[in-house]
Amino acid sequence: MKLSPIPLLLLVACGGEPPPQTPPVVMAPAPSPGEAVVGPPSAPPRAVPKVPRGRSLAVRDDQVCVVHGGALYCRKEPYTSPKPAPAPPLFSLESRLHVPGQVIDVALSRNHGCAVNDEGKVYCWGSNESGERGDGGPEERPFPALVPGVEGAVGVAVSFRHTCAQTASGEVYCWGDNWKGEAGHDTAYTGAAIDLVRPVKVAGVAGIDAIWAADGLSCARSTSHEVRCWGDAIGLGVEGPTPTPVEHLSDATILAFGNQSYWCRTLSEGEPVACRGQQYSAWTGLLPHRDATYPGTEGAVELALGNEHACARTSAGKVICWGKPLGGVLGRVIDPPVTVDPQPIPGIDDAQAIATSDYQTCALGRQALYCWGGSPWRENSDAAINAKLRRTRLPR
Amino acid sequence: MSPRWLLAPIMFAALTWRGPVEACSCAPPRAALLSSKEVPLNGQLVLRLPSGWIGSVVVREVFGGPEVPVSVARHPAGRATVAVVRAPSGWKADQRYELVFVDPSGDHPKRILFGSFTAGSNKDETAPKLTAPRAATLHDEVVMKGTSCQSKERWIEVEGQPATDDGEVFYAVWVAPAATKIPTDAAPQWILPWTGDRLALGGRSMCAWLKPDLPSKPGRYQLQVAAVDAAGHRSARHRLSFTVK
Repeated sequence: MKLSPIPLLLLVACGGEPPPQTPPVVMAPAPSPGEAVVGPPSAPPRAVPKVPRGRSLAVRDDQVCVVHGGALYCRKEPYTSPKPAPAPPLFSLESRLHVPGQVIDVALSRNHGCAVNDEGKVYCWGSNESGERGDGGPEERPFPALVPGVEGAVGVAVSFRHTCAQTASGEVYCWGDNWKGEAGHDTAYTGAAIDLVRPVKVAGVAGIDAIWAADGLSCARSTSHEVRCWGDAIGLGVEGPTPTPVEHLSDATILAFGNQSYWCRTLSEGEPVACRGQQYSAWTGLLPHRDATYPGTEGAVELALGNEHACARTSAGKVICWGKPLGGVLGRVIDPPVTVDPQPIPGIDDAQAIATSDYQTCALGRQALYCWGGSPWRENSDAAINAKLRRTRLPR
Repeated sequence: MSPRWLLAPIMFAALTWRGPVEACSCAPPRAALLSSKEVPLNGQLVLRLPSGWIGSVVVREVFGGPEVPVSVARHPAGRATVAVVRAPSGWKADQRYELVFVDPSGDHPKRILFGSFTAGSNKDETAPKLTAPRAATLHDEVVMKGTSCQSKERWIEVEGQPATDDGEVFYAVWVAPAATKIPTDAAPQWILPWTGDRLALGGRSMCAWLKPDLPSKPGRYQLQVAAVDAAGHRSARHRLSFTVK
């Protein structure tokens, strides 16, 4: 077996560069009276960032999912700690999650996962604590179940409490927690009504080609490159369920959101990654209205943000990480509690996609899956062992 | 001494005083459907709403379906309000409905979906039966003594047997001075569930959601109680006495 020649994309627990729309551009539907439309319909589409289509890799602290040959495989990862034991084969029936058709996108949060198939359907599994699975089913469901009410999906974005899907026609549907307005409508659900949570079309966005979801926040970018966000992010000037334009994100070529109210972007190819956020978020030095830039990240083509660290994949196939080294998530053990000196992960030069969670990062290479890091809160967790690269050979 | 020097200690106190020791706080009670999720065609719903929820209750068919005209009777009970919801034209057989609280303030969320229920296919035609309770006792205690959570709690416990009915039963309660005549058509002050082996108006916990405003002036009082079934049928009322010292 060989890996699909389709370039593989990143997944992030909370955001990374999501897949562009497939098919690429669809005319925005005529707005209904009073409904705002993202971007002027006549604006020529700008250069879409260089990102591959459809994410084939998803990570959370204790699991990795890979799409291979249109099938979805998920495995416990790190398999054991502190002494790694031989893991079961990743590409086996045992680790396959059944999603009908061909999987074209996958995303994992710390609570749940979702995948999109080539029939435009969304399937989710895992927890449904806040309705994030969208199927109205029981609290835990280990296997993917169809999310009713979404047709023509081409991409999905997850936070640990809510989910959004984009459709081929440029619409966005969200479901799950909505106490901050992150699901884009005016209704919130108490714990007794989680079974009534269903996807709701977000009003005020159209012609969307990319979406992101982070804790309490959702964002969408239109083909005219305008970014609108809804939910709660004071630094973005966003509060409530109405999609609000965020000007300084609209120039980003690559964009990703972290769960602790921070976000990173590149403005043009060859420039370093710039991040902003709340003062309490992620690492020191982030401010909501001024960029912190990270020299050494030039050439980034993909970003993956954990709670307290960031990784960038470069066009040369390297993966560079910085932030807090908790759980070995930076691929190295360092003394300072935080580093703003991005360093490449040794041993990776063929990365095609990256994905990260709070304490684990994985990169999909041409011939191998690489993972490093692991929750420092697990019993016997050892940062030095966690920081070592774990390599899983991909089937030919 | 100049007035300026006289003011100095007051200014100092004003600037350094941090206020009283912070008392314990309780999480607000959750909105909930207290009655069963299966209601008869002529059934009523008993809801608990946090007392801060000022707005309206809407009942609609599930997943944002059409609204059903309802009447809502509110019974404030301290930290929560018990609301009894009736559909004058009845429910549709085997239809599932959702309960939505609509907040008029305009802040997000404007609507809170907090429960659901399903109408059955039969009516409840029989009234519940309640045998006369044995006694009503007013408790007046200082709880969590010596801690920052110390508080004075007052509640009434009614001892007796729960009502008999072919479905779920709540209890309508009236309290008034002993000499007062409570009209037969007077709306109950409180609607309560039976808890354990008694009916309790309030409780020892400072965080109990039910904190009825009980009389504090010394004297003899009456408590009347009737059982109310899922369709709103009432049993005969029973009268008990208690004393506030």
